[in-house]
Amino acid sequence: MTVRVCLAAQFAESAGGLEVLALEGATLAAVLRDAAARHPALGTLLWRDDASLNPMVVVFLNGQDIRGGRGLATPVSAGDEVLVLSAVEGG
Amino acid sequence: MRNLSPGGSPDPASILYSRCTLDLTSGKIAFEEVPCQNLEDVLGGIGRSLQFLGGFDIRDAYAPENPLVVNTGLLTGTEIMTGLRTYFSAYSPLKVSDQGLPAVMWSAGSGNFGSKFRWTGLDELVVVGRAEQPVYLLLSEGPQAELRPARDLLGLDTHAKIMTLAAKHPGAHFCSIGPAGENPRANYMAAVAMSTDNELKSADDKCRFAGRGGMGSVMGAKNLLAIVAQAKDRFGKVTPAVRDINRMISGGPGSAKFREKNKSGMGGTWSNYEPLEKFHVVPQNNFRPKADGKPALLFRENVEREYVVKAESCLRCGINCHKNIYEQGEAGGKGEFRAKFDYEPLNLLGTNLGIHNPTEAWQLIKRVDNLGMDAISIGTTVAYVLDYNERHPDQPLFNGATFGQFEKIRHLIDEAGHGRLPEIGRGVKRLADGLHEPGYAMQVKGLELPAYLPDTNPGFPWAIAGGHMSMATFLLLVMQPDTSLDYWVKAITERGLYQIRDDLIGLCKFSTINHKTALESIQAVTGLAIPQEDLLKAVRRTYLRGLALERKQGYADSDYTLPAQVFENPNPNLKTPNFITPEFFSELKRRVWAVFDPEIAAL
Repeated sequence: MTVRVCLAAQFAESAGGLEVLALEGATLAAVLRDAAARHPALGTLLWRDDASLNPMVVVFLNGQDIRGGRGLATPVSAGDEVLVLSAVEGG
Repeated sequence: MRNLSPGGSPDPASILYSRCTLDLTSGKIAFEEVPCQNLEDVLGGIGRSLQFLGGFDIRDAYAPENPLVVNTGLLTGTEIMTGLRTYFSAYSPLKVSDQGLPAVMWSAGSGNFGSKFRWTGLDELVVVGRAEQPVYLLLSEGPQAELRPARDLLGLDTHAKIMTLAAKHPGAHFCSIGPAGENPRANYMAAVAMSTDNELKSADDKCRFAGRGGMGSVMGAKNLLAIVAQAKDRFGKVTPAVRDINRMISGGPGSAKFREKNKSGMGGTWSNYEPLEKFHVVPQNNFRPKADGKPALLFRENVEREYVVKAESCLRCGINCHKNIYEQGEAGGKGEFRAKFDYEPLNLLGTNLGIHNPTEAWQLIKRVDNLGMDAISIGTTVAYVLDYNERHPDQPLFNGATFGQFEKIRHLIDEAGHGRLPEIGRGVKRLADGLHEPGYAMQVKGLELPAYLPDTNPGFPWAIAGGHMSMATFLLLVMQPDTSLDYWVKAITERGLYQIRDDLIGLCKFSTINHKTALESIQAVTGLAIPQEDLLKAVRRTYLRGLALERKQGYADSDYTLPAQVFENPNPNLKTPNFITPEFFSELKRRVWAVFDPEIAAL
């Protein structure tokens, strides 16, 4: 199924300037794997060599931080909105 | 700003900005409309001030002829959310080359002063000279300007000055210096405080600050204690285009970091603590993380066990980035306001001083704000003192304070803020050079480092106005552990420098909007259609002018370096790659300058 994935600045830059992607997958992990397959530079930001998610990446599903729930195993549905953010910002 | 072109053309020659020049020595005040010379003039902020300051030959930051430029950006005082910035630019007492010459510097802040300033009809104020007696400047609509005696303000802290002036000038907003700025010869790190609506309504000390580079010290050296901007609010109509942009700013991915968790956010810059601690890169004990878990004691969840945290904001800003700490009140509500916790002041006046208790941390933050000092500069300088004393237990400095000794640390800050400890007030570079132990002084180009380790950021030397606000390389290593030269050369020369875009246009960096939305914002409220390519060129030219001005003031190859500890004594506790060797850094410099040098020559 297709979900809408919104990318914060540096992620969008690594996806060729695209701030919104339409991606496929049944879980958040699958959706973010699809992101990496379509945009390799984005993939290097999202995923570590050991196939774990970059600990500096925070994922929200429909406005909720997924870290408190099932994490990347969370199923997604058509029309869901995923937000990919950096865990660190200056200031 | 006035556009003489009927079609809203962005042709700079048809656009005039309004400048007031105040000579404090003679008391002369002059107004003029100045034609823009280029797009940088149109955009405003440092785009304009760096060009202006380049025309002066200044050898002493406290010389009366050093101009203090107070200005706004094109979006300051508009309906675009976070368009609240005021810029203070001058030759800095703190950012000084190894040759001893002051360099151009700026500092920016929000609050409501910038909007009111612009609503008086001014875009820029240039202050030269020195008043014989303490004065404040009253700006009002017209624009008009009037100097008033300010002896009654002497000695008051930043907030008290603002509240005293607020009683005299209802409806106005204010900027002021504190005791630190009143003692400029002993304190090079004074900030300028700007009032917020929240501050004036609550009477709590909730100023915003233009902290970096000693702009408050320059103001104090001129005997100018405060500026009042008195004007009616001029909020324009919120068009559908503006509404959509503001929704993007307040609810989009860019500002999520700074929003509350119940607003699809992550809780503010304070929340940097947790992810950075995973890599043991939270500065601790003078930028030397110990991997002992203590930074966690100031994680927000731990502070919230004792205090109520309320997310508050500058006027009409939906991001609510201010994480204000209150005592616990009755029935779970908030009690007395204590201080605002951001990552930088909390770390540099907390964890990095060995202070892990939130009660002690807020007291230091509040004290520094009230004295009107830059939290980064004083925190980093005091950390050096504590480090020195730990290394020299038999011959300690000052009161012998070492890490974690709250009362002694507070005493050092108080003394420095009142001008009684010039060794600290003049910043870590001078202190460390005088002690002949500069290797662990956390500064680059005379400016104290923010709360990001130099061991993780070889881009610090190319920051033209402080490490994290003028070169966006400070978090890259934790985000993507790429240690190749190609990566870092590009990070500095192709991406990092655009961090200063918002220092021209008047937006807060926390709006975190892309260039396209920034240009849509400008068009929505000014009618000016500026191509993205032109914007980026203007920003790049401004950055390059910053570098060129450093060279003009004697900055040489040896000034562009990192604290020697990075090269000589890498910290084994860090979980990030140790890659900044002397060889790496030397080659990085060669390649970065190979990009910038021809561009600087072509300016």
